Amino acid sequence: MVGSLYILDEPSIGLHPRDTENLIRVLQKLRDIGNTVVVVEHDEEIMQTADEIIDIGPLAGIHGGEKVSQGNIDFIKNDTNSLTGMFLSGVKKIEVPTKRRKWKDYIEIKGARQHNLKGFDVKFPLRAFTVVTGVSGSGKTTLIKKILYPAIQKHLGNYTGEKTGAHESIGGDIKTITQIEMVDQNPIGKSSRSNPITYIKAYDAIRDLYSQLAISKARGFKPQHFSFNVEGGRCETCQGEGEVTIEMQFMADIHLPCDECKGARFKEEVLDAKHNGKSISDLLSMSVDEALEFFHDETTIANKIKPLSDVGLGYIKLGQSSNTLSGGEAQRVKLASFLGKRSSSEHVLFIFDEPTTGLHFNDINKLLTSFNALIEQGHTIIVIEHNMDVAKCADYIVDLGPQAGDEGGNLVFAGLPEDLVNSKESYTAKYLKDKLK
Amino acid sequence: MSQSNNKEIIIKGARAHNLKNIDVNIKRNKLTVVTGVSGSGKSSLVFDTLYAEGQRRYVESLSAYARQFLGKMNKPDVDYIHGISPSIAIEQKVNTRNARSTVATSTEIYDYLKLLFARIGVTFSPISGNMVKRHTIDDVVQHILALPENTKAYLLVTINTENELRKQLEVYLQTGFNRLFLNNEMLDIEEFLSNDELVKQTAKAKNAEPLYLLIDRFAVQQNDEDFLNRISDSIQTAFFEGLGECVLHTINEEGKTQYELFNNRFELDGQKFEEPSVNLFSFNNPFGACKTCEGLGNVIGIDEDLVVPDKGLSIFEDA
Ligand SMILES: [Zn+2]
Repeated sequence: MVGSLYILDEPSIGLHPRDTENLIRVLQKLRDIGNTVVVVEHDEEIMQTADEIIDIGPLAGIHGGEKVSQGNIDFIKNDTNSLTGMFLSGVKKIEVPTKRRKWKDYIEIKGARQHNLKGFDVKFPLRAFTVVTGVSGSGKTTLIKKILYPAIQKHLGNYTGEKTGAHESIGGDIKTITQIEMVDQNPIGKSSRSNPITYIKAYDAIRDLYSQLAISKARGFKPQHFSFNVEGGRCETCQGEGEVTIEMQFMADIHLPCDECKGARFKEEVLDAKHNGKSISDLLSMSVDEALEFFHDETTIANKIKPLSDVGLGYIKLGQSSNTLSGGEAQRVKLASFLGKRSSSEHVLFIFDEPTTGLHFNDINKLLTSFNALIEQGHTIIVIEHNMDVAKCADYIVDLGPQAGDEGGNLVFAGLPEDLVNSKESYTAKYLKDKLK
Repeated sequence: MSQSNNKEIIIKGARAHNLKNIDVNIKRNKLTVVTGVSGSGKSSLVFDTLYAEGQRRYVESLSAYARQFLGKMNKPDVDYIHGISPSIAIEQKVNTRNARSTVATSTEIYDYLKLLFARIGVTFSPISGNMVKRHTIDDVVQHILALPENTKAYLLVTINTENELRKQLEVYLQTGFNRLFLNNEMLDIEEFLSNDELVKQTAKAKNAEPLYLLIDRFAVQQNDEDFLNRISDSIQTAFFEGLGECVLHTINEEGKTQYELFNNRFELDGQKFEEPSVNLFSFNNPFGACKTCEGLGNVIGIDEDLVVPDKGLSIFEDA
């Protein structure tokens, strides 16, 4: 199949930088033997080696969809129209916060000695933004996922089935925490039936609204008639999927619109029920931002949907199947579901493991904004991260190392980013320095 | 192909999802990166327009079974696309991107890459990036014939000294082999066996100079059919005795020596690869077909606690 067009979707995600180099060589070879290679990517290294970069944007949804720039990396870097180029050249960058949060409450782990951890004591501020840094193998994951997470779970009375890693004690203001959440980039639901609107629990209110319409009452439609997950109102030919999937050998599956409902997912009599001229199917095809406008007067529903827009997902469709969301999008839907709760009595400790993986620079900005919103609501954020743009925004950095394995596992530094850069031992300091100039 | 030129794929009036009726040209036989913030429309352009059309064209060329769906497949919302060839998409289906699942993620990516290379009949090692190749007898013959006339060469097979060395050598003697090769020197098997001390030493010494069985030695003769037949037979014997592996030791006119490894197994960098075959082609079942992925997963998987220091640093160079 030489002379083919090869299309790859973010092949660098999940790869160690060393493997990215190999990936690049492989892509180049594929090209050199006579193929056309098109890669959807954010990875700077891959962009560096591309013959040409096409930047689509400038932003998301209705604010995107245009070809912003096209050329090699040097051209893109000098094209002021290109958001990607401006981040690559450093003209645009993630801003360093003007001030760091002051904190009083904290959790303290004493004598952490699981795996290579050398028995140190460490504090994690509450209602603040902490970043845990250190080279791979320094013990970051062990400290957070093997000690902190299970220890707090246990404290909350949750059974995890996992033994807490070796440490002497955990204390401080642990009692103020009501919940702990590990937020990852895994899909929000395994089936094609889960979607953002059901995940953030806004769909119940919408179904209620539709079942209250005059036509629904006349026809005896209950809320479940407006669900595509149960029999009743949904199209039974496709069981509410709106499409049929044909598995193909040699290539990706083919998705065909359902013959019966033409992709509408519901029976015709249900589609007759319209709120302000829109059927339930029309509604599921609306973007979050469109829906916000549409539900202008239904504040309960609007308030539930709004967090999706706040985390920068205004462009996704309410009924978009969750398996079409990228990892970064799924992560933000999860954040939105928490932002929507706004309960003053809850104090959730969020743990993120390298949340910037696969994100465009501009999307990292949105993620940081969501972090800040959660902290403003009284929650705590702890992030394991290599990305220095995230580390420089922290209220507090816990740096482990200095090396990996036996030569790691020490607490190299804990405190403000501005003070970390003075550490002679820390590798993080070396890289953080550039970001704090 | 295209009316205008065949150096580019021309997309005219793309309107899928949020795309604003855009025109994009993509250079053929080049590596192009399409980027943009999430939701910008880059996937609408690449997957819902470019790939969708490539897929349609591909289905057109397939069996009647596949073609029956063609009429029903959604046409991408675009005026036209010129210069497109059959397309193969490798989707990042894995959404598990947290560190814990890095191994699974990388494995799956490599599975897709391996699928990809199976398609083109070429496999690259993800470890070194070099092409994985099975050497045929003819490959080795051609290699030898490319050497200067009269180059001295020894065709060797590595002996595994950890396995009852004495017994092995006795079997070789009975089969008709007489010579060994150690430290750039030939020696008789019988002579070697008579020196108990040396046998013991060689069997024990790990990582030392390897001990070889000499299969044949010759001076390169070009344009000599007898020579060609002789080395072909010898290479076959060598692959047999060496379980698919043999070593060519050469000495050039200036006395420079060189050892080259050939193998007729499909492997590189210590990894066995699945040879490109139809079984590997099912995109619906990327794992089922591949029995080597686990081994590969172990190689490229990143266990934070096992990573060596400088490897960790390399992450930071990119941070
Ligand atoms: Zn249907």
